[in-house]
Amino acid sequence: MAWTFIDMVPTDSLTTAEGAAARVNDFRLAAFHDPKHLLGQAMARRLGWKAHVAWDTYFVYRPGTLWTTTEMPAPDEWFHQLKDREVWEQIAEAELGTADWTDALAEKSEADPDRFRTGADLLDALTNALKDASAAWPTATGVGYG
Amino acid sequence: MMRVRALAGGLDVLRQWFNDKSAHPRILAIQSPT
Repeated sequence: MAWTFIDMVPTDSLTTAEGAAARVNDFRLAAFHDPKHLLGQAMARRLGWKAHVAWDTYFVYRPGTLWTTTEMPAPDEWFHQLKDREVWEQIAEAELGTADWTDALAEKSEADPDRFRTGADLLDALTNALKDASAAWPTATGVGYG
Repeated sequence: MMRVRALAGGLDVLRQWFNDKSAHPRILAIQSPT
């Protein structure tokens, strides 16, 4: 899995990205830092979003898919944890201690609510998507680098 | 400790990782670190 940390709230930085990455020790993971929203914008374009950067978003690809152009390939499956601004405004202060950061969010997420997953549901969705992706490619070598 | 690679100059380093692992299913995850 490529785990990219994007700077979305004022406390986000390379330092906090390195801290988050340090909490996990798994050879299958590769960590990246996206301070300029390059990946967030590329994922948003791929999803057809017009006014938002993708974050808390997960793309799943089957074996054999290559990234050959400037635009990233379409995922076989994807999920997100994005909530509408209205929900964020209600819970932001409790979660982060301040509501100021919601100013950085757009009016409303463009993410498909049918693809919203969190917690165990997200883990299940990603696990099943990886299994389906592996099954679609008979020569796949498992989820070693998933 | 896992090295965090910067994408500030472009997505080439991530694209290289993606293509290098093309024999496997892959997840691209993007999250706020905090």
